[in-house]
Amino acid sequence: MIRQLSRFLAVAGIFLLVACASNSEPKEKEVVVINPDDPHERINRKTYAFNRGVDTYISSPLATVYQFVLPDLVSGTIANFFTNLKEPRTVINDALQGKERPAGEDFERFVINSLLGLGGLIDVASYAEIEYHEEDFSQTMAVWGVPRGEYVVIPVLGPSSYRGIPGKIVDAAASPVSYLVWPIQVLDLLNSRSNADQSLKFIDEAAVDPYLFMRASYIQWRDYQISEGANAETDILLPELNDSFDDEDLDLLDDDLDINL
Amino acid sequence: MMPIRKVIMMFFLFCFTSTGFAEDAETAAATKVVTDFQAVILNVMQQGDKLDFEQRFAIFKPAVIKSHDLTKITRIVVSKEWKTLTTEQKKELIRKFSTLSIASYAHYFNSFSGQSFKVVSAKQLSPGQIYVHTFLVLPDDKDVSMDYLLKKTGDDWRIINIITQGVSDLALKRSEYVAVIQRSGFDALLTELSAKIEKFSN
Repeated sequence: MIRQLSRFLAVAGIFLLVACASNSEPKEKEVVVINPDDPHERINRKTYAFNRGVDTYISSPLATVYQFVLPDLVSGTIANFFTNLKEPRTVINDALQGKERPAGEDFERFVINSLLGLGGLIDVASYAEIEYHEEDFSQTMAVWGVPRGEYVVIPVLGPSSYRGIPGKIVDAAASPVSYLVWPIQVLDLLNSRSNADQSLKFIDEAAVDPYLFMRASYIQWRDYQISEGANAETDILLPELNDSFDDEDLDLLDDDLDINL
Repeated sequence: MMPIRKVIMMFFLFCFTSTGFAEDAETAAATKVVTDFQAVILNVMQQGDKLDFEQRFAIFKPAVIKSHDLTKITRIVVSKEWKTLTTEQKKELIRKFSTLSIASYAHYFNSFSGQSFKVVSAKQLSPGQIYVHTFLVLPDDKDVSMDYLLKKTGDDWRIINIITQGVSDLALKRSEYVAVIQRSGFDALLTELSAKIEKFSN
């Protein structure tokens, strides 16, 4: 579960074409409560449903073929190649955020993997225990104090925010993949979707409302990335934690609740 | 005779150090709850294919009930909707949610490939709340941050929230469950939970 969730969190912002259960659209005459982070929920849910359709009929079958055709070793090598191509973006954003040590490590990773790892096909830097970081321009803007803004689901690309949209544009401009021939760009998309496969299955299995699951986890995960984990101790303190039980509820604590399958 | 100022200083020093010792003991007790539960997870994972779902459920059931405050978690995940429920509905929700929680562990922790847990730190956030910071160590991947929030219930520390890579399980479930109740009613939530249990057990 953890590995699946971790993978989901790691790829959610890259290429999230959601394949989930069928109850993402509020039914007519139902009470719609507006979430302050997501005032455009109605439109976002429609985009989410569209993305789900694209994934079900296009991306998922292609990813299945991709996984079937390529042995794990080859797909792993391809994943290494595209991860390495993201390193220049990471180095730039490390520098823009004033993170000297990570910038040095990420630059080192890029040089070592590009030269000794056959253009990034082999992740030599990880064998040398040089830590991998993920930074993007949306995180940089957050560090600069740009607020997240409202949650949006972008057609085909998946969950994001007002801050995330310019972030994605700058990241695309800073990515070497954007300047390569289209078959390599398609390969990059297949690699990303393939890496997201287990995570999407996890959401499908675990979520009661996949749209809300995606939104809540995306927002928390991005906050975690931006704060380097510092948010975890404070953001979890929900106001309900300090509520005490009413007298009648205390009886529930003593009851044998007969937990069985 | 000892000067009064010295006596007062010693008194406060004694109070502070006793508080410190008490806090350390509480932190250690809460950490033990987490490490004991993680040991159960690893034990089940290591047995892998030898156990079927029902057997894993049977092992996890006492461990989860002992280490998690399932009643309180259930109340938090439905937030203000709790007060709108009847006693029977509350009981049914606790039963269903607890079954789902145990079934989730039994479903996902079913194989072993060299994983381990390590406790990094533990600290008291406020009286009665301790935060234990751990990592799930994956042999071929980056470590996954897994933090536990524990609250004291009576004399025991119980897990009330698990935070994986900054994503709070409690907040995630609360956002889903409250929305389902508000949109489609309490019975719809129970139906969804039952469907998940069914899915995990097959």
